[in-house]
Amino acid sequence: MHPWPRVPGLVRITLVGILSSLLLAMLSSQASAAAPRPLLAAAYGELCTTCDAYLLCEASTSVQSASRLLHVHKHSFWGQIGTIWTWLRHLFQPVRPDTRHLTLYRPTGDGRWASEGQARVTLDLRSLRIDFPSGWIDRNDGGWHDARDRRIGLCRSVGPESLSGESP
Amino acid sequence: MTGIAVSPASSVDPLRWASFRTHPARSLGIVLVLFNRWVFGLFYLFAAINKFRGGYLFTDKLRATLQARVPELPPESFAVTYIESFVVPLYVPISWLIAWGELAAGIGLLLGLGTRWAAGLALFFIINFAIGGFYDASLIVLGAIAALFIITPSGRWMGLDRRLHARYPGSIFFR
Repeated sequence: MHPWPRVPGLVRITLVGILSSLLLAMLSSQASAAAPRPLLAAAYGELCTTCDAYLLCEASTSVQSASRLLHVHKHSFWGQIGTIWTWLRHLFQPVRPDTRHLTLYRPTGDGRWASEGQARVTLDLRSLRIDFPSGWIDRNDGGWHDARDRRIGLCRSVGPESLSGESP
Repeated sequence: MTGIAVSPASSVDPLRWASFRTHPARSLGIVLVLFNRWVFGLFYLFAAINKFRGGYLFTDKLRATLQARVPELPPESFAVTYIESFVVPLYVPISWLIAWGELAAGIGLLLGLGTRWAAGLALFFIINFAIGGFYDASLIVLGAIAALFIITPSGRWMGLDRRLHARYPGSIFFR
């Protein structure tokens, strides 16, 4: 019985090679300074697959009815499984856009929110944009733009309670 | 030494071109398992390299990541307790364990070296990621794939385990 066998030459050379490369990579690496996190991004990358997110977008004009509440849905069960492919693609292309379901709410005028419909939203950490059919949001500064790229207001992350709270 | 019996089939047939003619279905199954093992190994190897390159070992990146995750979780969940009372206080040894463990799992799966142990390590990490607040359905699939390499003698179909098992038939590492 040899529970701790000697490591054969080929394996030894392979392991020493790999470990040396990694040590060099590690020594040459520098931890980057904490940068401000883009809107909806997590510390480890894109918004987590099991997370719902809410964005309150307020128009910079006095027309408050232009405000919107965006509900970015978590991935479905199969959508979460599909992220395995996303991770595999990460091996070759570090940052890929993430597409999710979106429910758009508009203020009703009596202090409530009403659904304006469902759409798809694309979260992209490369272009730092959140794109949806009627516009896009700059993930750096929260700038809300319409489909013609005009800046029309500001968006910020809010909690789910905002949906049951009072609209503008 | 544990009493794990040495299977008389220390005679696991390796994958050979000729077996595609004699046992096509079995051979195809083996190819699929091996393909998955290499992709899975690559996945772990890259995950480890990213951690080494990202300064995971000498910074508080793990702690910062987990502390940022906590507000996204239900406050009463087990994951929050696990993170706050176990992982965060011990983030230095755990960072090292994750980075080196992922590296070992990746190399083991790619080379077919201690394959079942490497797969067991991979499964251990998957379970810990799941209970540590990073559960999503993809981990079910990844866990099932890791279990596949624990169940099957894939390292002896193709990998260093075949030669090492022949040389050290009593060793539990190369089965």
